Amino acid sequence: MFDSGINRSIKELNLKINFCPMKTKTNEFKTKKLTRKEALLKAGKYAAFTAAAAVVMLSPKVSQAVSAPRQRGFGY
Amino acid sequence: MTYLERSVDQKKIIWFAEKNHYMLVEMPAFHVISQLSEGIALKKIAAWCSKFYKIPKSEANRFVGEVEQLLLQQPERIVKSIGTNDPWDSRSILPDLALKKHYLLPGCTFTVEYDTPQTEFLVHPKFAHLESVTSQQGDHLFQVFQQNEMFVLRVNGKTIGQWPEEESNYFTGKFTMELINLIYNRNEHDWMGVFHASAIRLGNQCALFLGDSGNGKSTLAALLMASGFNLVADDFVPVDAISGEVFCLPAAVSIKKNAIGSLVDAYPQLATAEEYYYSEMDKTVRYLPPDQNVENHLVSYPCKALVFVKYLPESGLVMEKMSQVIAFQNLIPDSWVSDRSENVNRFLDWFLQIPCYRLTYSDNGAMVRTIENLFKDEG
Repeated sequence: MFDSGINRSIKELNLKINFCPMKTKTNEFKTKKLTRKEALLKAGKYAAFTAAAAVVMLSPKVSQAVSAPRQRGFGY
Repeated sequence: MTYLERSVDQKKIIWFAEKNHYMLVEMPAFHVISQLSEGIALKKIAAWCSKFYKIPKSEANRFVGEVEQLLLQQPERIVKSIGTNDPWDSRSILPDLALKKHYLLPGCTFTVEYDTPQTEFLVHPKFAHLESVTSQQGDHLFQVFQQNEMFVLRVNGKTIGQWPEEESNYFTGKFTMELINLIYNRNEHDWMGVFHASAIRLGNQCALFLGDSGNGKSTLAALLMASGFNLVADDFVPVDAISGEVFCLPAAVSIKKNAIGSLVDAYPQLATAEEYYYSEMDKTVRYLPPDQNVENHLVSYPCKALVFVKYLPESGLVMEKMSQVIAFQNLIPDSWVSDRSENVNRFLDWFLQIPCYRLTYSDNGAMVRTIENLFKDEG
């Protein structure tokens, strides 16, 4: 569950990173081209921040239980 | 927001006290949660995130907002299955509890009064081997009956709770809990938890075999019992809060009909054992009592491994170490863990120091040898 969440996030972030506009000194926007290596490094860092999608919520049983069937029949 | 936390495989397990709920999160999310719990404003946390992780403010804002939403999405604490909030009125007239059985355990005796064979069916088969022919009232009296389509449990004159028919597994679970409390002279919160597992020991150490129903836990337990291992508890495994040791429950092991063929050589009595048919699950089982000649009653054993079992035809045998993150995700939904913070603290420490394995098998002989080695290797 963690892995799939993170991988999905990395894909999303790759897209974001590749098209992230950077502000220049002349106050104009232009696209900075990242190498694949840079993109992956950056994606790895940002991926942690989409980890909200990878949170696993777990609730224990509210009371002691056995694995007995919910209803019984007779046949013995 | 009160919580406990532990690190595991570069992630965090967090337990939220108010909702008795666990989360597994990555470290950045944990840092946000810890700051939220201190009442720090979202904007301030986002600014910290942005600076600490060197990410754009917009990204940090979005992330902190998502984590906050997750906390809000936690399910409310459910209480209905511990018995209804409207307990059976003790002024009501008890139905005719015509079926009475006495059971003999080491250290105490108990009597169970049932109203009908249907109610008896939920409890008796697992304890039939302990039935005593005496007519003398036991040390403790259990009364189980149905009223207004609810199963009611009374112990020593006190109503414990009532459960609708579809929650009969909780009714039987509470019956078993009350029983072990009386056997061991304890209260519910003297236990760290109750695990849906088969507990098997070799010498003075035991291992828990876990997995969904139908994955072959009980068959595996019977095969191991036929090879020199002893049963500690099956299906309902109580673990002590203080020592973390697994306590014995002398209940029988339920064996599905399709597994009887592979066990009948070791247990000829299974060939003629009484058969119980569970219509809704279309499942027929026979019960295999633990070896009553073994002096393991009222004794507890440290747990040296958690083994998640899956019987898979033609798989041979694969035993591999399992990540604790995955093991935790499998363990929690199937377990009752005491919701007292001191017990959760102990449970988290207990879990994190026990190695976890995944066992997929079809070769019974190889399985037994592998488990023998597990006990030898891990000393």
